[in-house]
Amino acid sequence: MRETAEQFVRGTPEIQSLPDVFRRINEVIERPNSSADEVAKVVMEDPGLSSRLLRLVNSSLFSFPGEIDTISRAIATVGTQQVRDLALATCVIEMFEDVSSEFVNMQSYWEHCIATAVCCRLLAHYREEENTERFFVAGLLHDIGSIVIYLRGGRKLKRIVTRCTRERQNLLTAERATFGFDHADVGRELLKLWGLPGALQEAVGAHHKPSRAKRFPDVANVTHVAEFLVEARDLGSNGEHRVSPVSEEAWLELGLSSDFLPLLYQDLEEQWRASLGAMIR
Amino acid sequence: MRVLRTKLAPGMILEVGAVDRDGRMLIGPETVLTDRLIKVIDNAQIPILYVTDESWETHKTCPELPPLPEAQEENLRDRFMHVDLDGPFARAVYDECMNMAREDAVSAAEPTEDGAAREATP
Repeated sequence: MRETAEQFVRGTPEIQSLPDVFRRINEVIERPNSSADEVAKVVMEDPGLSSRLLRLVNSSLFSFPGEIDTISRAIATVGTQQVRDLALATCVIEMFEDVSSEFVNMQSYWEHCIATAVCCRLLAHYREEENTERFFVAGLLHDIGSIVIYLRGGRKLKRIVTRCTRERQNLLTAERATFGFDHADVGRELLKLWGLPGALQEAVGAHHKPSRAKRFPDVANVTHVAEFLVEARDLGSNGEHRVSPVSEEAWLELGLSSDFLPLLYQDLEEQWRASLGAMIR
Repeated sequence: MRVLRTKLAPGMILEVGAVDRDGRMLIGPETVLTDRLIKVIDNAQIPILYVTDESWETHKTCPELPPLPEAQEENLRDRFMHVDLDGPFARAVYDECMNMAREDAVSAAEPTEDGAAREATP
C-alpha cells in the first residue's frame, strides 16, 4: 500500500518538532497575564534568534524610525503576536538552513520562500489585514513540504526531476504521479505535527489549489497569488522551472486591482533584497 | 501607454489614476499633467504611470522601450507555458513581467561610469 503524506512526514525523524525555544515562546505568550518582559527573556536565551530577530525588525521590511536595539523594544514596537510569528519564521529557517540537496540550490529555495513571504505581507497590507506577519509566515512556509521531500525523497525524487525535465511537467504533477501526494500535502501534515495554527496549515496545504481552503480562504488566496507573482518574476527558485498556474478566482477574492502591479513589484523587490540579508546567512 | 515616471511631460493625460504606495489615489484618471503634478508624482516615487496614447504621441520626449530580444521573449513565454494567459490577471502579470524584462534590458545596456555595460538584475 502507498504511504500517505502523514506517514511520509512521521517517517522523517529530523523534523518531528520545532526548536525548543519556539515552544517556550509560545507557552509564555499563551499563558494568561504573561508580560512582554517574560517573552523577551525567553527570546534572549537564544542569542542567534535574538540577533536575527533584531536584524529583521531593523530591515526596510518594517522601516521603523530609529534603531530597535533590544528584544523588549522589538516586542513593544512590533507586538507580541507578531514577534511570535517572526520568531517562528526565524526558527524554521535556522532549522533547515544547512539542508543540502543535489537537486535544488537551497540558497535559491530560501530566496523564493522569503520573496513569497514578503509578497504575502505586501498583499495583506494592501488589503488592510490586521496581522500581516501571519501572512508573512504562511508565505515563508508554503513550500516547507518540499524540504521533507528533499530529505526523504531518494530515488523517487530523482524520478520526479527526470519526469519534469523530459516531459516538461511541473513539479506538482510529477510529485503526485510518483508519491500519490505533493509537497503541499506534506507541508500541511508537517505543520499539523508541529501544532501550528489551522490558518497556516490550510494555506500551506491549499497554496496550489486555494479553493480547497474552506476555513481560512484569505490566507490561502494571498499565499497562492503571492507565489505566482514571485515565480513570474523569477525571484529565487523552489526547483520549479516554469510558473505554476494561477487561479483567477483567488485574485478576484483579494479585491485588488492589477493597476497595483508596478508598485507591488517595486516594493517586493526592494523589501525582498533587504530581507535576504536579515534572514539568511 | 505605460511610461516610466522619468519620461512624463506636461500636457500628457493620465489614462489610469496615479496611486501611491499606500494605495491612495493622488491624481485621478483623465487629468492633464502639469509641472506641479509631475512633482507630486516624483515625490510619491510612483515608478510607472499610464497615459493616453494620443497625449504620449503629442508630448513624448524620448522613444518608448525597445522590444525584448527574441531569445529572451521566447524564454519568458516558455516559463509561462503552464499558465492560461486568457485569464485577465495572468495576462496582466505576464505583460508586467515582459515590461520589467524590457526595462532590465535597457538598464543592463546603459554604460556605467567606467564605460562598461551594467550587469543584468539578478
